[in-house]
Amino acid sequence: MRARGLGIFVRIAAGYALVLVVLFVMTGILYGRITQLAAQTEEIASVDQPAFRSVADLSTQVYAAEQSATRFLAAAPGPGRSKWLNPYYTARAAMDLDLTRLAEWAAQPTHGDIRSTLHDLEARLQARWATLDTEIAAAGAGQPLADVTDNSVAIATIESATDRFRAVLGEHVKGDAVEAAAVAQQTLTLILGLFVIAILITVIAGFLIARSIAHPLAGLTAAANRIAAGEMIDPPVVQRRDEIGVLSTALTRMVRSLRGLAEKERGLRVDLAEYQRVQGELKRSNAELEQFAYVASHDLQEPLRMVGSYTGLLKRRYQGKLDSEADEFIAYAMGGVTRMQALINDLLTYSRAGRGDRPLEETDSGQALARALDSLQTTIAGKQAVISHGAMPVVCANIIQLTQLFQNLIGNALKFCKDRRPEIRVGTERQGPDWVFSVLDNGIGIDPQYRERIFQIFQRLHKREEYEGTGIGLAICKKIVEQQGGRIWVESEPGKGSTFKFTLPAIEAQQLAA
Amino acid sequence: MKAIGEPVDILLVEDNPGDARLMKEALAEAKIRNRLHVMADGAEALAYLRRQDPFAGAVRPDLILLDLNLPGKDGRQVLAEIKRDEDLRRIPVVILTTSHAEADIARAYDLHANAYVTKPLDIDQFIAVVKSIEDFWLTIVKLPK
Repeated sequence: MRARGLGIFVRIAAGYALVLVVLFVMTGILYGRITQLAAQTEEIASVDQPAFRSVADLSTQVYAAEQSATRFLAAAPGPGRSKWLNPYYTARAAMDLDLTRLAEWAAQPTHGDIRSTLHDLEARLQARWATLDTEIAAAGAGQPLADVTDNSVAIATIESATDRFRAVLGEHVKGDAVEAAAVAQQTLTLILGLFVIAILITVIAGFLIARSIAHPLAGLTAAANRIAAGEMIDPPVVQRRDEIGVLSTALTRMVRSLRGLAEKERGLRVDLAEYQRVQGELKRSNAELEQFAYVASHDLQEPLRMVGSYTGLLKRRYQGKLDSEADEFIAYAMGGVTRMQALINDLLTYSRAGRGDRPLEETDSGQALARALDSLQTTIAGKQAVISHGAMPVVCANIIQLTQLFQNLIGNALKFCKDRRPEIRVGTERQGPDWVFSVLDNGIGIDPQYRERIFQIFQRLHKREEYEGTGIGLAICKKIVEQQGGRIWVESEPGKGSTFKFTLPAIEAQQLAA
Repeated sequence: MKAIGEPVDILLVEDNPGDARLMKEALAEAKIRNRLHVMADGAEALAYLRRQDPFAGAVRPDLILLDLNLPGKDGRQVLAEIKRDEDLRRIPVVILTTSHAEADIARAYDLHANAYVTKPLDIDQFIAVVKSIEDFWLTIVKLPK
């Protein structure tokens, strides 16, 4: 999921951008300042320095002009006299140039105080030049010099004016230098200040960004660690539209689904516990039922033995000695006792058949069949039954139980044959992991509607006078087969014999599964 | 050995009066003359055998018929005590019970029972069995004097 708001990247980029902007501003300010400083230095170099030179030159030229004029005036009139004036004119031209330059310098707006001093100097120079020009003209006309003016006073006057101007000029230049120094100092201070500000901004921006990322991340990490350790706490909610906000939302969603899972797991655990409880109860009640059946049958036998014994004794001692009715009554009582004993015995067998205390092992079904036929020997011989079987496989079963199973099924086949000579065939067929056993007879058959009922305990289809039995034999068979992991059913039609079939696990399958 | 014609003494240890009576009836049909002494529990039977009060004048039995399930001291304990007792151990003890349990049979022989017989349910068979026991233990078998 992408953050739609200010992402962490944007945040960091913004921080850097801010620092960059500050640096740019700093550079701009510095550039301006340094340009100003350069201009001031330039001014000192290109304007102030030439002004000094002009003043110096002026002083020199004043003397040159005076010297030239004096020599001319002192020279004898003649044709070569005028050559002495050449330096005078040269000096005059140089001084004019100097004055023009100084006037230009003084024309600058800040040099107002200089202008008056310059005017004073210029005026004095003009006055002197006028005097000199007049004297030169007079001398050139041949007039005698009334007196050669002592020029030292005039020079002193000009020098003092020049000195004053120089002083004022010096003041100005000094002012410019001081100003430039001040600008340099300010610039330095400004650089330091901006540097400190830039550092502060960088540090603060860095701190803010780090805090805005690290602080919630630390909280989320701590929460994630506790959640990972199994604590179902609410992670801190970070109401932000960046990656951290997304992370917080995801963490919250994760905790929610974890809670859901935990809830489901709890539910499952409850279901499992309930299932185990019910299963345990079922097991217990089954065990109790079997124990009850066993004990009850056992304890029932004791009084029944008394009834049977004394009824038998009555019969033994008094049969034929009382009336015929008494004999009949005794016979009924004896019959009841016999049936009751059979029922109790079968009930005992049934309750034992269900107990899972007999180990399942590799069992030769042929051996079990042989033992069963051995037990039924008398009946088989009596009915002249023909019993055949094919190859008998090795199965996973208990031999005692399997013997009982064959005995009950073949016993039934022998019993329900009416007057026919019983023909019984025991067959086997492999079906997947199981062996299917079949016991086929030529007996009276079973109506399909009773297919299920015959396997229920105490269910009988015939009158006692027709076929004896307690109705427990097939129930025992079902219990044995199911306990060994198989199933039992019957395929039959009335009058066409019956085929009882049951399955038992083949031994290879067991070995493979092990 | 008793003189010819003298009745043999049989001690029956049986708490059920019905069974005791049945035994008496079965013995009555037997050929040999006998006197049946019935004790209803284990402690009483041992007191009888040791001629302890109130059985000071008790007759030493020729055969003991012992039920396994008795109130108080049960048949197994009585059997063990008889077979530990030098004076009593030579008296043949036949266990007479309804139990078919393999464990009961093995335990009885471990305690040196002389025979283990289950009571037949049918009265005719019961009488036949009692006769066999009498025949075997009182006429066929040679016992020390």
